[in-house]
Amino acid sequence: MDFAFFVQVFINGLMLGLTYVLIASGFSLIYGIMRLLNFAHGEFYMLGAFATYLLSEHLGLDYFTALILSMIIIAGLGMLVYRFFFRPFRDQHDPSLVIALGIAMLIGGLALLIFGEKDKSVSPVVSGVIQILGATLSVERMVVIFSAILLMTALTLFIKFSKTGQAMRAVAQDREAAALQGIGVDSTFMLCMGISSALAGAAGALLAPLFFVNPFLGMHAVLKALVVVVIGGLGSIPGAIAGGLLLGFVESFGTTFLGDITEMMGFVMVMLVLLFRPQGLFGHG
Amino acid sequence: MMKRKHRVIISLIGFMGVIGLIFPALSYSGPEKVLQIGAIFPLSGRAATWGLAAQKAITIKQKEVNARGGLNVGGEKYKIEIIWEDDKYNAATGRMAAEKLVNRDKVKFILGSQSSAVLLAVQPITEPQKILFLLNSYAKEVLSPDKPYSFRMVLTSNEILQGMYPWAAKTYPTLKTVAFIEPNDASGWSIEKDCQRIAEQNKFQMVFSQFYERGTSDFYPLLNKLLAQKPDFIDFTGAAPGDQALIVKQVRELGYKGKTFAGTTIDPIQFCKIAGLANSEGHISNTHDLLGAYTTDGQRKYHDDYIAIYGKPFDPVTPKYHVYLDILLQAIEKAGSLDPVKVKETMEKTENWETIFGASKFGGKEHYGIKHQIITPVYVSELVGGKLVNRGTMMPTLP
Repeated sequence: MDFAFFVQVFINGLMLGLTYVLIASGFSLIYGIMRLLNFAHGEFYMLGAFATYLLSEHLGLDYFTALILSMIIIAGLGMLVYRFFFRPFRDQHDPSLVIALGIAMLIGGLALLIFGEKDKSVSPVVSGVIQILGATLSVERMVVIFSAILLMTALTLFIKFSKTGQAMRAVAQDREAAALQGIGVDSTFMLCMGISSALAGAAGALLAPLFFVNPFLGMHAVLKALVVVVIGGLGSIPGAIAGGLLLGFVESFGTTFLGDITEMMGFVMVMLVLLFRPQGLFGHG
Repeated sequence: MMKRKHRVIISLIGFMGVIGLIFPALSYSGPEKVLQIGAIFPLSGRAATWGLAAQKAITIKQKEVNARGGLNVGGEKYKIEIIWEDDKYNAATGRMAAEKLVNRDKVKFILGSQSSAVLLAVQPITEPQKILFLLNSYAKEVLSPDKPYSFRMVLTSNEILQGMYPWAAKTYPTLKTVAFIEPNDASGWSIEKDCQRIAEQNKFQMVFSQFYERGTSDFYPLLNKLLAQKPDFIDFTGAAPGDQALIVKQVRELGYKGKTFAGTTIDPIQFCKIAGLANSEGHISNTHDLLGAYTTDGQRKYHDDYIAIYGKPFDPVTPKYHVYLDILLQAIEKAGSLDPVKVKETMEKTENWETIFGASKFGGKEHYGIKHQIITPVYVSELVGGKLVNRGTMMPTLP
């Protein structure tokens, strides 16, 4: 294996990993704060891609405006879903899980009804390829890589240093104590759902020009997100980043050196993590 | 004054009521006979593209027959009614749909799914009850001598590639090596076997073959490995239409200059939009432009009927599914009976069928062990400037 080939495999893994990070971070955030496995998260990702498609391809908005608007729309939708579906079942683990699955199926079915079964595409914002140490990478992918890094940095800083972020962490640690300190648990949950949905929407919007858009994107995305957060640690944003990148590299190197069996590697990793470190790489016991 | 006015209005209403009662009674000629046919397709889920395409083509034929007064069965006219069931590309759901169609709706004819798993789950219901099952799937085992009531109505990769590979060898003599990318499921495995065998028969050397999980959208890792083998062309016949376009886009981004090839139909507009116009140039597929060369009158009529019902743009994936209902209804008329045993015998005895593709027949006795595989012409086209250009048509030879 020459050096350029190795770099190509590495960059492929980085790109793939950042894709997973984008999708999984919102999923992990919700679990971390609300203790909810939001299986509808993948559908928000799909809707983010569709919102960008409609705004840019049908309403003629430029891509970046469409991206921002998609994030806002999906955030709003997420908050509505919380208000009307999750809130009545707050703190009830099993009903919430069933509701989340039901919402996922409902959104997927409605999307199929409204948008049809055919793959749609969002016109590329930039084109061309660049060479990095002999490896080839499309400029489109570079945009996604930088946007993903930017979003993750912003999210981490927001949670760590902003007052609202600190409130979210307080609610995650002990919601009763947080409530006694005057933190509105319900409004924190609502905000958390909004941010998480916006992240899913951003992932959908960023990846739409790279791949294609169809109503079936959600289920595959949420399965990958689940693998990533179990590896990284449920509820941990650094865990989602580490888990996503790890899965991306494993899949890239695995596909190159092991072939067809690579798809199983993610699940093998999940089993190993559950056996030897059930709380995940970055989770707390 | 008012009273007289009321009387006139009431009389008019009464008169219209009497007319309304008399006219239907005059034209009434007993209850309308209806032939119910079951249809199990993936109408939702990831394979809905194919299921909904089949639904459109079958509906066109149904409307055409009903518009001319119905199907003539032994001198009696039957309206065609299709009972649609969604198998969601899932074997258990497909089996439940078949149970419902056979036991509750009492249908004698079922048009079947594109999923091998669904078909294999449904056949144990249809075969013992002698339900005529017209199906589609690339898996070889759905046709066999112990399944005499199953007929495959769409060409598989085996027949299509037997037409396309010799064409590729003749048209592009510089092509020597081939790489395969197929989905990791029963259809993908079956197609990959066909690809390998037919490539070898046509003196192409296979340098790479790998499966991918359906739902994959980033093919860079797989393509990276593939490109190291420097194939002259890449065949991804079993990949879904969107996956095909993504593979083309990404392999071109990685610098591939060779040919891309798939023995399936694509929607050129959608394909070029996803893959990019420049990347799509020269892509070879089994798609046929119904307004281009090598087109029959039947195909042109189908095109017009499609536009009249569904509007533009035309979906080139749909025509192949027209044969399902077309041949079944021809067979019922020929048999003059709704008995599936008699219809089956008619289908087996009849040598030539006139379909929208021209003369078609059933074959496959040697390959499948039973002569129940439809043989229609194979088409080959290339994308040039984002448009399909028909390059030829050939009748596959299937012993």
